[in-house]
This record gives sequence, structure tokens and C-alpha cells, in this order.
Amino acid sequence: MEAILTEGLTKRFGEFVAVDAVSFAVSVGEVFGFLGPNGAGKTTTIRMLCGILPPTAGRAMVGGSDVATEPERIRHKVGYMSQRFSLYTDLTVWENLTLYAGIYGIPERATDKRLREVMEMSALIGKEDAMVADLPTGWRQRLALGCAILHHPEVLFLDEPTSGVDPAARQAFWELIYQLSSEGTAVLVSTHYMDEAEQCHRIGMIFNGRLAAVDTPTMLRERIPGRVYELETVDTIRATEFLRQIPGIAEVSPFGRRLHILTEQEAFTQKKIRQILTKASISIASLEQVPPRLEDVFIYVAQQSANDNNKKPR
Amino acid sequence: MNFNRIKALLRKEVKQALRDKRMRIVIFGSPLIQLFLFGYAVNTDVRDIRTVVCDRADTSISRGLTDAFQASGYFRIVQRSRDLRAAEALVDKGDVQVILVIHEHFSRDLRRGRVAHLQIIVEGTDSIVASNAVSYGNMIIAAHIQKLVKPPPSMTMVTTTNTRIPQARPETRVWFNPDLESRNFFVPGVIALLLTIVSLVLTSSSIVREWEVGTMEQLIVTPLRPVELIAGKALPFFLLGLVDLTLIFLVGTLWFRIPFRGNILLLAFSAMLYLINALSIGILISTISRTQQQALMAVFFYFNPSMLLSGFVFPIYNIPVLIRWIAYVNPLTYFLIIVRGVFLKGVGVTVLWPQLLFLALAGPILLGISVKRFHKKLD
Repeated sequence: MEAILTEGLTKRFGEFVAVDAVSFAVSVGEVFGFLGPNGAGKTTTIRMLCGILPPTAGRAMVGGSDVATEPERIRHKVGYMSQRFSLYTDLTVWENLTLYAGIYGIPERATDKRLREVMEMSALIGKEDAMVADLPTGWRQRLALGCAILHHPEVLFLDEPTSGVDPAARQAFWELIYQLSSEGTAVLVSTHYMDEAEQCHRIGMIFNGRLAAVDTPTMLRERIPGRVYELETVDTIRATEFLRQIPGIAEVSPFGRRLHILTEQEAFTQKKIRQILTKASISIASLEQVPPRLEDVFIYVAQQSANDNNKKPR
Repeated sequence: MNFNRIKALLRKEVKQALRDKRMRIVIFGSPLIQLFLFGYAVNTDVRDIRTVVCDRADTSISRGLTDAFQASGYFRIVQRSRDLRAAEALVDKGDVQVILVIHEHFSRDLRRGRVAHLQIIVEGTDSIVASNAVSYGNMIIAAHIQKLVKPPPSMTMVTTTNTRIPQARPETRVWFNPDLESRNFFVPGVIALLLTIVSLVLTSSSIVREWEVGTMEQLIVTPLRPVELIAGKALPFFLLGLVDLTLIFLVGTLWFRIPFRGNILLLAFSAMLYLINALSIGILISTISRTQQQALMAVFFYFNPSMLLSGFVFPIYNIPVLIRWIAYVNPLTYFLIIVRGVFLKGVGVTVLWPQLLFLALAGPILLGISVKRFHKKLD
């Protein structure tokens, strides 16, 4: 069964098209990643799916309800965690949870039990009376997640939930996401961390409001037609500028202190690159073929999408 | 409407309001401070007007008159001087406000039944003091002359024939506030004023703060409806408003000894009606504003004209017709009439029903508008 289903979902703000005919589906228990740069339309899409922003065109069903016509029903079915921390810092952990339990209509008899469950799950036990203002970011994120799942939502929307959280806390947070997904919750998580996207069952890459690619991380990697070479050189800036001029090279992008060179075809061999670089007297510390990473795919898809956009008459 | 959701929000609002030190001051401190300010400092009663006497006659009659001025309590004679120039200099310096000039032949003219001259010179920059000084002065002089003319009782028989001067003596009676204490007029008004300030300041920032801090982001994805949100926001301040009302009422009647002649339940009821008005305006401001700062500006923008055009200080019938209609759509105008009526006159519903009706209708209308406005904000 599909927890989320969109068809040509579009949002325009005046002339600006924030979300452009986006169609995808997320099934029950699936963790779906939304990968895209800032301003690509991730948040706008999520807001439409939560029923707080009416779509300009297209349709979206969440938990079997139409977001445009039944926004009130949607709100009982979805949990939402916004990009910006949006709980009350002048209330304690327990008070925040109690507030949302009340708003979600959890009966008073059941509140205590449910709150304990959520506290335990989010590893917040012992922090009941801590002021949220005093909690470190990682704890706050877990509390925000706790508040978002109090009412057992069918679909959980997480808008860049781990921005500003240290890696260990991020991993702990992802454990929670998996747990929820294994219990049947569909999770749509937006991110711009590649390693995080890698952990999703499926990824949708979104650029300029358009969904450019949707697939599993493995399948996405196969999309790259050419090869990926990793180059280490002292002269990264000149190498980048130089290689970008060469026909047959799709993209050159920094990868740590190294460069990733993406070729358009498999025929473009390592030997050929070595020759070109030597001719241009760019020293090579190391050059080897590497399996494509998600980041390479992302850059490739981004470029394709930009090309498509340029072709399209505006 | 789901009351559990409203209750959850209400609890949270009260907790936040009482936890915040600045809020506690706004809720409990500022009403008391302002009440004491109005009770003590803002006083339009005129007493001890500094006066210089220029007694050129210097007879027992003129001295008696001077004493009467002093004894009245309205005037305080700070200096006596025969030289008018010197007296004028004192006025110029601002040391005195009134010069009482008694002409040389005053006593003689009076005895002979001629027109006796004396003069009250008043420095008129403060029109309230000046007009009071003039009328008090006339009163004292008239009373004093009366006493002089009226002979002692034992001599009545002999003198009646030649002292029969036809005269009309108006007998004034001031109702409801016999001592004309301005405090009695102001403190009940301050109740209305403080309820306005507290409810406006508290509510106007409450919704816009949630947008500003970002907490609204989480609230709007919940099943909480706009009506419930606004009810949950207004109710706590409604309750705190009633607490304030009790506080101001107790201090007003027990400390300032403002007479309370009316029905306390009627006062409470009308205060509730008025609170709905004031809170709705605050919430309306909160839904319109984008930042808390804007909201605060809007509160002042609303509050100043609403206070000036309500009859709090200046009577409405003195307001030019062009802007008088503002006073007539101003809820504060009606609540002031009710509060003063209940406090000082002890009147009830039979007299005050038009004002009560206005408040009862305007409140829900304002509340409805703010709920509508809130809906629109999302898109």
C-alpha cells in the first residue's frame, strides 16, 4: 500500500515555481530520502503533503486522504519535524510532550504510559524535568521526533532533522528512524548529507522544484554512464578548470582534498586522463578508478537536470 | 471545537506566562505600579495654590478675608506684600500662581455700601488650576462678605430693615463624589485602562511570538484548529485579566478607599465582556503583525487614541464631531461608563444595558475577525 502518492504535484508562488509537477510514491514502512540543494523545493513539498500548504496543481494522497480536500484528516495521520527546532525551550521535556499529547487528543488516562514509551524510545528517560533550553541539539532532535510520533502517525515527515547534530547523535537518530519504519511507519526525510541519503531505502533527487531521479541508492549509482576517477594533485584548481574544458568529461568535482572526474563514456580510460594531464604539465600524485558514490550521482543528475532546464524554452 | 486541545494549550500558556519573569511583572507588577501612580500622582484636585496677598487696605476686614483664603485650604499664602510689582515678579518666576489684591478703600467702600474693589490675578498657564482658583476665590469672597453683612443674631431685630438686600444663593450639591475627589473619578477608570493594557500587551505578542520563534511550525501541522488555537491563547489571559481585576479592585477600595456602591457581580460580568473585546483586539494585532516588535508598535498605535477618545480624561462631548465617532466604536468608552457607573453611582443593568449590549456584540465580532485572519496567514 502507498503511504504517499503524488501526481504532478505543483506549487507556484506568483511567477516562481517552487515545486514543479512532482510525482512519486512511498510505501508503508519505507524510508524515502529527499535529496537536493537548499531551495530545491523539499520543504514546500513536505508542507503540501502535511496539508498546511494547498497545492497549485496536481494531486497528493497521504495515508489515503487527499491533501487538498481533507487537510484536517491528514493532520491526524502525519507526524512532522521541521527544519528549525520548533518546540518550546521555556518548557520542560515532559511539559512539551504533555502539550502535544493533549493536542493530538491522547486520552488523559493513556497519556502517562504513552509519554513513557516515547521517552524510552527517544532515550530521554531521566530528563523529564529538564528545561529544553538546556538540552544539547542531539537531545532536542530526539525530543522533537518524540513529539512528532506521539499519536502513532502513519507517515512521518522529517525536514532536515539532523542539521547541526554531531555524527554520533545522527547515527542514534537514524536508529530511531529504522525502528519506526520497521513498525510500518512511512518516513520521508529530506537531507543534504550524502551518507544520510545512503541509508534510505529509496532516494528522490530534487533540483529546482523538479524530481530529477527516484531510485534505490544502488540503482542510482548505475545511472552513471561513464566512470569515476579519483585524482590527487597539488594543483586542484588548475586541474579542475583544465579538465572541465576537455570533451568527454562530464564533471569535475572536489571530493575532500581530491577531485572526482566523471566521464561521459566508459571508453574514456585512465590512461587517456593521465596523458592529458601530463601534457598540460599538471602533476599527478595518484589517479585511480573508484566506484561511483552517491555524491557523484547527485552531481551528475544535477548537471543533467540543469541541461534539461537550459534546453527548455523559458 | 475540542476542549481537551484548548485545555492543553491553556495549561502551556499559563505555565509559560508565569515562568517568564518579565511576564510576571507585566501581569502583577505593572497594574499595581500604575494604580498607585494614578491614585497618588495624577491628581487634578487643586489645593494649596501658592498665593501672594497684596493688602493695601490693611484693615480688620481685609485681614479677615485673607485669613479666610488661607483657612479654605485651597490657597496657601506664601507672602504678603504691599508692592504689586514685587508680587508680579513672583508670578513671573513661577513661585506663586495667584495674587490677591485688596484695594486701599476696600473696607470703607464696603461699609458704605459702595462697590468695593478687590482683584484676583491668576497665572493662567495651567488652565485647570487657574479656573479652580478663580471659582474658589469667588466662593470664599462671597461667603466672607455674606458673613460680614449678616449681623450677629442678637442684633437681627434692629437691623433687618436696612440690610434687606435681595440675593440668590445657589446651593450646589455634588452627587456621587461629594468631595470632588479626582481620585474617585480616576481609579475606577484605571481599572478599565489596566485591563486594556495587560490584555493587549500579553495577547498581541503571544501568537506572533510563536511564528517568530518557529514553534508555530509544529503547531500548524497538528489537528489543532484556528478557533482552538485562538481560544487557547485568549483564555489564559482572560483568567489572568480577572486576577488583575480582583487585585486592582481590592487595592482601589481598601487602600484608596474608592467608594463602591454597585453590584460586584455586575462589575465582574462587564469586565468579562470587556476582556473579550480587548483580548480579541490583541489577538487581531498578533495575527496581523509579522514580528513581536510590530505587534508592540501596533498596541501603542491602538492604545493611545483609544484612551484619549474614551472619556478616560476628557469628556466625549468635548471631542470634535469629526472624530467623535471613534469614541463611539471604542469598547473602552462603554466599559468606562459601566465601571464608573457601577463604582460611584451604584447603577445596575437597567441603566447600563446599552453599554453591556455593545460589549457583548463587539467582542464576538472582533474574535471572529481574528480567527478569519489567522486562516489566511498560512498561505
